[in-house]
Parts: sequence; structure tokens; C-alpha cells
Amino acid sequence: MTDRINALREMFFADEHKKFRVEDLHLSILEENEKRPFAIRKALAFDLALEKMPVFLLEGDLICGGKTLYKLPKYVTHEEIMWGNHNFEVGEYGMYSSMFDNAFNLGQDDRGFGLNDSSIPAYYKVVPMGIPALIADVEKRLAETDDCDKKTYYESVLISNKACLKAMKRYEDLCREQAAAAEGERKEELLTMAENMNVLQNGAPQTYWQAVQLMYFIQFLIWTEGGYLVPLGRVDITLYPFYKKDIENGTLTKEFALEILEAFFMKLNYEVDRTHGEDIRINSDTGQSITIGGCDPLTGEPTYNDITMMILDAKCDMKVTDPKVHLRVSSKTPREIWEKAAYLNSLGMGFPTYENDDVIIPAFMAHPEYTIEDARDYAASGCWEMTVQGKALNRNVGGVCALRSLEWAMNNGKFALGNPGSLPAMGLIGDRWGIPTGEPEWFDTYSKLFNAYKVQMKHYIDMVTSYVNRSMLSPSPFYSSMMEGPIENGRDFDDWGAIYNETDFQLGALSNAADSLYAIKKLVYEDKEYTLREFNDILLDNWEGHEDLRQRILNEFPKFGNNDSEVDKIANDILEYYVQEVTKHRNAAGQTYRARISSATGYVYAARILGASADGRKAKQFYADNLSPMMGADHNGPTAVVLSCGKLDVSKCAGGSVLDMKFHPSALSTQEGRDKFITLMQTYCQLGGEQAQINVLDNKVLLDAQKHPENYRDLIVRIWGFSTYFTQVAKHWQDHIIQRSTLSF
Amino acid sequence: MENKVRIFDVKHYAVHDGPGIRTTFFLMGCPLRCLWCQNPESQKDETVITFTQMKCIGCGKCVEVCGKLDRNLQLLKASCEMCGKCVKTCFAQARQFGSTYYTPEDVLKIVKDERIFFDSSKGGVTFSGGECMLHIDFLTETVRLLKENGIRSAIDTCGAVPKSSFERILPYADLYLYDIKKIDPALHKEYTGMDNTLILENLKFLTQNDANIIIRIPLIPGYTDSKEDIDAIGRFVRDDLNNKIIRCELLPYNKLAASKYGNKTIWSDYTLGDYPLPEMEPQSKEYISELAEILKSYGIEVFSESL
Repeated sequence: MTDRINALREMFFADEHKKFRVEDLHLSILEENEKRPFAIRKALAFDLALEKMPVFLLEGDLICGGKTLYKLPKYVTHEEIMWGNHNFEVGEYGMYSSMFDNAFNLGQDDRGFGLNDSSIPAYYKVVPMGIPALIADVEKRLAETDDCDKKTYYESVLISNKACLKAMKRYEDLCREQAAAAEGERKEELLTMAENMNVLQNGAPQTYWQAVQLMYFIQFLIWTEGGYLVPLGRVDITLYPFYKKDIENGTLTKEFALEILEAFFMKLNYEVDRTHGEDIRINSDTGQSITIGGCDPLTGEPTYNDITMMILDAKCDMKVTDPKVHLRVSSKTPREIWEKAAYLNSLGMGFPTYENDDVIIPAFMAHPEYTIEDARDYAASGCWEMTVQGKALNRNVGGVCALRSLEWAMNNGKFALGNPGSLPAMGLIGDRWGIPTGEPEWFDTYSKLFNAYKVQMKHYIDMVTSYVNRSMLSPSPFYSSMMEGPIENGRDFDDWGAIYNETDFQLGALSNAADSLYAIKKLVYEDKEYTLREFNDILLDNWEGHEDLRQRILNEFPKFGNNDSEVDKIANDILEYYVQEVTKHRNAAGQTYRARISSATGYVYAARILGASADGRKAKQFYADNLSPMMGADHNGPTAVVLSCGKLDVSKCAGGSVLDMKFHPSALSTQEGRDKFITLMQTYCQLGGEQAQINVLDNKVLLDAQKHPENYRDLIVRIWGFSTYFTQVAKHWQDHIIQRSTLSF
Repeated sequence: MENKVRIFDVKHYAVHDGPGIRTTFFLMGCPLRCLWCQNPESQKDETVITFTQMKCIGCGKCVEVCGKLDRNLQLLKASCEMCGKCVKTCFAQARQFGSTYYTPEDVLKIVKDERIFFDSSKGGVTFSGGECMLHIDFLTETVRLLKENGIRSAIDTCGAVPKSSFERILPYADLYLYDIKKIDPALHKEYTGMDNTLILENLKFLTQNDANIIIRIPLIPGYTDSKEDIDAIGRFVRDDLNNKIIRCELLPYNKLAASKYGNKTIWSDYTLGDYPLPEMEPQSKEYISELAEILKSYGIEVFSESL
């Protein structure tokens, strides 16, 4: 890390960038434009925001930009707000669980329409092309179309992109102004930066530096427009042609290329404290994922280049959360990349996450919509979910909890803890959200119970998907114009203009449900120690007076994650049924729903309204995150976890399924240790594992960080799907991480 | 007679016990009594019942089934017949047997599915202890069975067992992790309770028979970690073993060992004495690399976690 980057990093931790922030300038474009279409008004608000937002450069900055204005000028009419989005009311229940137990929007405009997230801009197209060429293209299309809706969309795109050029001019002027006051090298730098901004206003980027600059400029403007969780896609491939050209004609050194990249990465960190959703705001949940490695979309041959390695180097150096790095691996991935990645893992920040091409690409192809070229061009979206870069609107708006279905199956469709709130729009009455599948006495065999379980899960999926399909999106003229599809089709995101419109559906608590069903099967149907009614009553009493039974289940019963064939099979039975049901549904755009195994925040929030479960879990306690075994249930180390997960058929989970693994630092501290780790990961991939994220943590360090946060400002850990600063997240998240890592291998 | 031994721990993904990904089995019983022993609970090959206060939920079932436990749940060792009723009734696993019996087939069953990891990482099973070589009937049979199933085995040994034991295991074991604590026989006896003639003879025997050997040197501050100690080992390896070893591993002192001693909450029925050594700090990285240089000057390959 150079002195400059180090200084920029210090300024970031000292919150220098926050000094330029204004929350709300109380502007409005409504007065003159009230009668104009919504999208045009949003574009005009964006235009005014870019005109008025503060612009700034920190000492030593190489890249211009940064979000400073957090509220767009007023552009939604009072009528529209009153009309609202009735399909998406969030009740009391939703406050805690909407993230998981049903449908949700992470962010909404004033009407309650969903803002856009998780979709990867087509940087591979827009960066080489430049904004002026994009404007020219849209102007031509506008002139050629008679369709009134398309005209509106194109006009909104033009307003937004011209606003972008004007913002570039503001930064050009700022650079020149500061250059006038600067001396020596810095003066030259500022003049080059001004020149960069000038080139970008008039055409396509010519140098690597300009390409990086344009990418960041678009990125922060998408945030300013209201986008959040904005991933960056396959940056190594996008930037490489610029880098190669500059290196070959001798205008760029490798060292300076790395410095520019690091300056860019530093900028991405500015938004880590401003993530989505007030009540669940968690530091660094920015969705700024970079995907590297992988294969060529046309040939399927592995791709990696100098920038791939440079990104890994930068992440080793910088010790900041953003961007999150995802490495696409396959049986063809070169050893050199594995080694560098394992070294990065050993530093403990949770980078990189591994994505297995050999499973993921076929999983995309299991859906009827995708072409092989596009499947090969997937990249990580918000956390670790997969989406086709540049072509897909990716939404994560609903899910089911595998334990909830079981709770309903055992209680004839009712909540164990009573009705947690009501959502009239979903047509729910009283305390029964599930459907009546019968009293416990009716299930005299395990398979009858399991059938009821399936019925509840199906009902649950039907309910949430229909709810999601009635939800509406807000147009995003700037964000959508950075994609492939909307411009060609003349339709914004909200009108399903993207080439793919993916809706991912998630399944949480899979391992808990498998463990619970096993315990019921054993105690009720095999050993006949309790009737189902008796056992359910114990659960409804939250194990009161039955601590010995709870301990027996916790300690003596086999659990998922220990390579136990019976429990693993139950987990796979649940998974198979879930995938089958989810992929049957189509979303509002007509694309099939994609299945995913993910707990998101549900393992903390949805768990709060979940009764005790038969695996020994008490009411309201955490459940397992993502694909992982329950905390403390994996007695036999990572090899057994990998073997268990290898038995799950995730070959149709195009939404992804991530295994969280944790290691003690000493396991990866030597080359030999890392070689063993690489073998473990390769074996996981070979057994059909889809994705893995790695925590390398020492429990003692975490406990000390809780006591003395001031000493650990850059301690980074990975939670359900992203890396975050340990000391910046709420205590219950910290506790969960500690609970997990106590049992580190 | 059934061929079974007491095993007090099985560690999967053991990364410090030989090459590749390994599963390590820890057997009970040891002929030595090293002052710094890291697994003092495994010194005697006998069944013990342990009690972990932290896990106890106070259900009182053990008191019901036993009749010999006092109110504090303490058991008078003399009167305990190790019937295990209390263990069986303790679902919270506060009362546990210190070890479990395993047959060679049990071992195979546990590691069979892990072959995929062993094969790709050139790893396998490691037998440790205690001293696994004390149970030579079991060990020979198990290692032979694993070999039949394509799984390599490593023997982690202190070497203080009859030469005939090594003769028996020689055709089957793939690797020896062989401890050398000290070359000076008198001090060796003082620190470990036994002189090292047999240990060094056995090591020579193994090298003469072309066994794969990794020598491991536990570095105990003030006891085994002086430059003279390491120099003596280097000379022995060169002159007596003709350097026919894969490498030497220097194991820095591990402070955690001391915490097992005198810990009445875990070992209430079988209290270990206090840790016989004073509190000491692990060696510095610089010092370990100096020691490594000494060994290297004898043409020996050296490895240490802390280098």
C-alpha cells in the first residue's frame, strides 16, 4: 500500500468524507412538472440533485466522485403517496420478519414502490462506450419510435445521462480550481484528473485511469439515484483491455495501476454506513461485489489476467470491507489463483467468497430462460447470489423458513407463538397463516407428517410468490440505462425491460428443519417415547421441565453436517421439494422463480417469532445461517460438513447456496495449512458444492474487540453474506459470530 | 479377545499431524511421564469418568442412579466401579467417560468417507496419544486394514516401546512422526522418567529400514530448547541416521498445556496434580529461526509453524 492510499484510508476511518454530506437540501421539481410522467419527474429530480450536490476531493484523491446528497428533490405528488403501494404494506410482523418470512422490499420510494438493487450494471458495455455514445444511441431511438411509453422512457434516460455529463463538468472545474492552488506533482495529477473528466464528457475513456474513473462515476450516481446494493460484476475482464493498452504503450506502470485501483476501492467504502432499510441497517451491507476469475462467455475457457491478481493484492493490502471479492473457480482454475486466494482468506476478512462454475452454470441452464453464453457470464450480486451481469434485474424479495413450515404442520397451520401481526393484503385471518393440515393425532406415520410438512411449505411458497408478484417497482432511468435490455426494449426496470428478470426465493433453517424432523422421527415414530401431541406440547412450553430431553437431543442425536446419512437425506428431501415447488412459479415478468438456500437476516430476525423446534432450539433463538449446520452441531470438523453438504442436490439452485465455514487462524497460517485448505475447497467443489464463504477468526480476539472496540476499528468479519466491521454491528450480531467461532476448527 | 483400545479423542481435519488432510486418533496410555506433558489425562490407560461443572444442568439423575455421589456431585474414586450409569443418564454430557473403546473396524468406519480428502491432499490417518505403539496388536491390525482400503497411516510416537513393536508395524505404516526430546540420557531420564537409549535405537532401526520419518522436537524453555540441545540432535541425525529423514519439525512451547492441570472442574474424579513447570512464554520467531539454522548446518530440512 502506498503512502497515498494509506493516507486516504486514514481519512476514511476519520470520517473525512462524511463532512461533505448533506442529507436533504429540501429541493423540489414538482411545481413546474406535476403533470409530467413519474419517470420524467424522477429524472428531473436526479438532474437537480446532481446540480446541487456538494462536490469534493480529498487530499491525494485520484478518482472523482462520492455520494453527498441523500434525498432526491421532491418529485412524488401527494396523491401518489396517498395511493401508495397497497400490496406492500408492512405490518408489525413485517418489521422484524419481512426480511425473511414473507415478501419484502429492501428500499422503497415515497409511494412504497421497490427501489432497484442487486442488478449488475453492464460496465463491460458502458465503460468502453462512454456516456456521450450512449446518449447518441438513445437520441436516435427516441427519434425513431412512435410508442408513447418508450418516448417517455428514452426522455427520462436522456435527462439522467445529460445530468451525469453536467456532474462530470462540475468535477472537472473542481479539479482545475484545486490544481491552480496546488504545486508540483499534485498539480499535474489534478490537471490529469480534470482532463479525465473532460474526455469522459466528450467520448469514451481512452486510458485505464479514465475507465476506472467512469466506472466509479456511474457507480456513485446509481447510489445517488436511490439504488443500493449495487454490484460491479466482472471488473477484471472489463478493465483489462484498457490496462493492457496503457502498459503496452508505456504510459502506465503496474504500480500506478494498482494505486488507481486502490484509490477506486477506497471510494467504494464511502457508503458502508448508509445501507438499506432503517431498522435492519447493518454496516457494509452495500452489495458492492466484484467477481473475478471464471470463464469466457463464448468459449467457456478459464479467464484471469493481471487485474485478477491485482484485485486480490489490493484486498490483501487494504483491510477495508468494500468491494467484496468473489472468486469464480472451477476444476480448471490455476493453482496460482487458488494460492493467492487462500492467502487472502488467511487474513480473516472473509474474502474471497468461492463460486463454483462447474455447478452454477448448469444450475442456470436448468432454467428455460438462459443461454449458455449468458450463464457463463454470471457474477455475484448483493451478497453472494448469482445473476447475469448487465442483463438481469435481480430481486431478492421473499423466502420461506423451513422451520416455520414444520411449526405449521405440527399446529394445524397456526403459529406456535401466536399471531405476530397481520397483513390484510395477504388475506390472512386470525392466528392461522398456514392452512389446516390436521391435528397431530392424524399423523400416525412419519410420511404423513412429512406430507403435511410439504403441504405447508407449498402453501407458504404460493402465498409469498403471489404476494411478491403483486409488488411494484419504481422506475430508475439512470440505473436501468446502464444495463443491457431496457434501452433496446424501451422499457425501464419497473416495466420489465431487462433481458432477464430474476426473482430469487430463499430457504432458511434447512439444517434445523432436518435435525428437527429426524428427532421427531426417532422419538415419536421409531422409539415411540412420546406421541406427536405430547412432543409438540413440550415444544409449545419451550422445553419447560424437559431440559433433560432437550440436552439429550442436542448432544446425542445425529445432526446435519456430520456426514450422517439419515439426517442428510432428510435435508435433501426438504431441499428437493422446495426447489421443485419454487421453480414451478413464474414472476410478474414471466420468468421462473429461482431457488436459493439463504437465511439472509432471518436467522436473527425471523427467528424471534419462531417457537421452539424439535432439534433442541429454544423459542426465539437463532437458527443456522445459510446452508450451514446449526451452530455447535458440527462435531466432526469441516470434512464432515463438506461431505454432508456434498449430498445435497443444489444443481438446480440457480439462486445459490452458500456454506459458511470457519477456521482458526492457525489452520491457514502456513503454506502447508493453506494447501490443505485449498484441497478442502477443491473437494467441496468436486462434490457438487456451489458456494462457500470463509471466516478465519480467533474467538479471543472477538471477545477482546467487544470490550475494547477502539483497538479494532478494522477488524473485518463475514456475516450472512458480506464482510463488515465487527465493532460496527449490533451486539446480537456480534454474539452470533462469537457463538459460531467458539467452535472453530 | 476382541481387539479394542481406549481412544480419548478423534480430531478431524487435523492440520498439524503430518502431511495433507488427516484424522488423528488419540490412544490412552504412555510409558513416559514428561514434565511438560500436553495430554496428561492420557498417561494412564484406564477408564475415567469426567465431570464438567459448566455443562451440568442440575437434574440430579446421576445421584439417583448411583447412590455413591455426595451432594456436591463429587464421587469418591475408591468406591466408583466405573459402571457408567451416571454417564448414560447424563444427557447434558457433564459426566462423560474419558475415553471410548474402538475396534479396528470402528476406525475404518469413521474415516472411510474421508478418503476423498486423504487422496487429494496425500493425507491419511494419524495415530497419536498417549503412546499409540503401546497397543501394537490393535495398531498393526488397524493400520493393515486401512492400508487394504487405500488409506495411509502415520504413527506419532515417542519411541519408548520394544523394538519388536516397530518390527511388526513396519510393513504397514507409511510415516513416523518421531519425537526426540533430548540427546543427553541422564537429563532425558530426569525430565521424562526414562532414559533414551531405547528411543534412539528404535529410531536407528527405522532409518535402517528406510521408513519415512519426520522428527519432532518439542521446545520446552530451559529444558530442551538450548542451542546445545539442538546441536546434539543435529549431530545425531547426521552421524547416526545418515540424514535419512524427511525433515525435523521444531514445535514451539504451547502455554495451553498448563491449563489442563489441577483443573478440578473437569477432572473431579481424577484430579491431576499441579503443572510441574513454571509459567513460561513461547520462543520468539527469531530464536526458532536460529535453532533452525543449526539443524540446517547439518544438512537437515527444517519446518516450524512459527517460521
